[in-house]
Amino acid sequence: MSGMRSITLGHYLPGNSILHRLDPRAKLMGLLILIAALFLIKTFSGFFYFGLFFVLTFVSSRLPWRYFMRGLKPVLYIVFFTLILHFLFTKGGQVFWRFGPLTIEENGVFLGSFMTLRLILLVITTLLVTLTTSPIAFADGIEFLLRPLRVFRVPGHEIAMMMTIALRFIPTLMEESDKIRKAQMARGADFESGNIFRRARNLVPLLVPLFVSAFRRADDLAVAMESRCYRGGDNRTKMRQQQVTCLDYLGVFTTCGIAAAIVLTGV
Amino acid sequence: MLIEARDLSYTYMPGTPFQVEALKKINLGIARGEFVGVIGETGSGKSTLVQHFNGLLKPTGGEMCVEGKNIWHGETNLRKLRSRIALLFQFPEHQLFEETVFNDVAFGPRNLGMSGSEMEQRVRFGLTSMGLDFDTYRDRSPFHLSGGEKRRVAMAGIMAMRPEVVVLDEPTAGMDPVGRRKFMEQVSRLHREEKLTVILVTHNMEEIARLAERLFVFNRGELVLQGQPAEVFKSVSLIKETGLEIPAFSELLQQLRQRGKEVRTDLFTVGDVAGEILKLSREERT
Amino acid sequence: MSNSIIETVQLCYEYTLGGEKTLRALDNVSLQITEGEYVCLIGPNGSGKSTLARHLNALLLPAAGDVYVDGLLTGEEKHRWEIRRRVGLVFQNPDNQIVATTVEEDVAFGLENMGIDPPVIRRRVKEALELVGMSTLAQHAPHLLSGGQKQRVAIAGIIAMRPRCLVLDEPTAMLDPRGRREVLATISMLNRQEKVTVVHITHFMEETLEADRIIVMDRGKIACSGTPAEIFSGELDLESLGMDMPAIPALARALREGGLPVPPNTLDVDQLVDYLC
Repeated sequence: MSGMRSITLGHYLPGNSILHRLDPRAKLMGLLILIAALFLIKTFSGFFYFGLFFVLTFVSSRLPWRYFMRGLKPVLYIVFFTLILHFLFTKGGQVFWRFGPLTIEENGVFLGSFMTLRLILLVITTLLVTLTTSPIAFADGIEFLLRPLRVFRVPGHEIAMMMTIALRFIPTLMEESDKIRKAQMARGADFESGNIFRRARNLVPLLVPLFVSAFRRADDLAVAMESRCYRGGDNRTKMRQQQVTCLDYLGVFTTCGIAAAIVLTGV
Repeated sequence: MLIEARDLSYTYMPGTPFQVEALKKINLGIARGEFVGVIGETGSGKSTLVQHFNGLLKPTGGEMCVEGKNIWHGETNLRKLRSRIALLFQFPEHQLFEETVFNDVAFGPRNLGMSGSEMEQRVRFGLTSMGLDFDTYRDRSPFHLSGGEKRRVAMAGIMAMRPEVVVLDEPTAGMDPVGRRKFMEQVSRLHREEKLTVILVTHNMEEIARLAERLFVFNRGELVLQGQPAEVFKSVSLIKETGLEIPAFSELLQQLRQRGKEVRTDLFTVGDVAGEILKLSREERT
Repeated sequence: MSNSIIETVQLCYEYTLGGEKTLRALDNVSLQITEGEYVCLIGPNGSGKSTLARHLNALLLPAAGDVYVDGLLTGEEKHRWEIRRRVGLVFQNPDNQIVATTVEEDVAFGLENMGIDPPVIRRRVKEALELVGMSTLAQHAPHLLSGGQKQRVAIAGIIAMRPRCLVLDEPTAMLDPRGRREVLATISMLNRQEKVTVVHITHFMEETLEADRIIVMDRGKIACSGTPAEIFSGELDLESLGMDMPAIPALARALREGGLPVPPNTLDVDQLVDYLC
């Protein structure tokens, strides 16, 4: 039961759409291309076309949009914060509004909206990929993409393994933190009231046990892994071998083409 | 009734694809001074239920009442309620966080606004009620105690609030036989001597049959059976359907009865059962 | 002993408690486990059971004395991985030993570490999951499984590596009755049907009744060992060793004390009912 609480943002929803079936490496490459495109786009019309492409892909993924929006919620605060920051502190151009030392000026509104749009598109595109890619495939994809960087001693396997373990333990630790929170509330702890400093201090009874538990689990897991002959990435094989199909090539090339077109129209 | 659930339902994550009905229209009552057992498989809803007793969860349907008053209507002080109806979670040693045993046990009383000698008195009461000597333990780090000691310190932290009711969620899980025995001895002593109301959630059928006056059996979010242990464990097939077990002595006595022996079936301790069988064999000899 | 799969010879181990202080966890433990045997290890917390278990696949190395697995000395570095393949360990907390995010990926973990060919891995994973009855849940995320199911996944992950011996360190401690039954049935099936040697550590005395041999540990030493009938005959004062008598043997002892000559090998309800009727 309690496992049910632990639905986190970006939690994978299994499905059978084209996006679901694409090889994670293709999806990750596509994602990288699109992110690059986002940073190259210089006009609002570019964002519009990008958004259009996103909507088409989203519809084809057949993800329930409510679920998608829920995953987006926590990010909205950051987006809103960016917007406010730009509105208030980026100066230049016509002054729209003035209140004492505070002004909202043309450049601020322009840059704020621009940055916010970019951020939103960045987040929703990434979310779309994580929602349609199983975590394990995702980690495999990362490991593959990091392989060329091995020359620079980037530990691709270790990073992927860390990701897998993190993904595996997020639900467990969420459950645990919920339990500890309730256990302390049963002893009269108060996590909800008081000013920000008080609240931060009140988190100690939650955080200390949580850290202790995370370390204990890490320790247990390390022993269990060692006991099952784990000794790093060398000479390791993989049960699931990913097969790149025509669809994957097609996916990457199409994305590449569309991204290029959007960027070029906007220049 | 001290604690009463009326048509109480609880649904996790309502309105999402992950919606789960954890409790379905539960009706039950627990009187002051009782020792009741709550049994059922993992996921049967028993842990969800007990978290309603002190307002850690808010029912999505029905009412949760304490002394006849719905705790979610009007202005029940939830903090105060939680000190009266204390809940000890599974693996309670995982909630310890202070540098000394004293401070950890004092966490509850301090949250109730106590300090100084009043608080110290509470800590002393909590520790001694779990058979831990105040002066030996007060300055030790809770992280350096043995597993059994940690658990008793955690329970002391609950007892220091001087609750009227304690809800224990599988308090002895993972302990060795001695630790289990010691812990449960303290709990039943508190029940006897301090008139503490005890609500015990457990997977240990032998233990609950011996200790509890009444049992509630849960299966898939429903209360399927309640009554005295002897009555409950007569429903052999229903108990097995819910994934639970019949205590060995219950099974033995019931089988003897089926084979035509005149024995009582409401006995759960070695002494009582042995006495009954010896009596029977004496009668048969004469 | 030619057919002993595990042998410890005067095994000693000490934990350092910081500074000069040490704790002797194992004290001259000499023990032989025969191929195909089902051994239960009981004793209070801190009696050295888990420490002993971790010596059986070279997770810990003796401070003094030797441990042989299938004739291989655990102290020798070159044998380490082979020993860990031959002796698999299952731990108490099912949550803390599952590495991957799906059941089948986790069962494959050990095989992947051994560098086995992918098609062979897939076959063995399938077989192992069938053996523990978890095939239908192969694609599931571990945190959505019940405790008993998680433990069976952990066992499958070991079994897939084709070990000779399975060491289980309180595998049922955190499970509900159904989970416990599932895991026990799996262990006993592996022992009987697949001829895997089993070393099972537990705090539940009822679980030991089917074992070939019970070893009782106390403060780092082997206090005694024997068949369940011998250990629970009532001759031994298990309570003073920090253990319990299982319900029926305890009752049988009380009945004997009351003058009813119940045979000492009465271990379960059916046997006692048969005797009494």
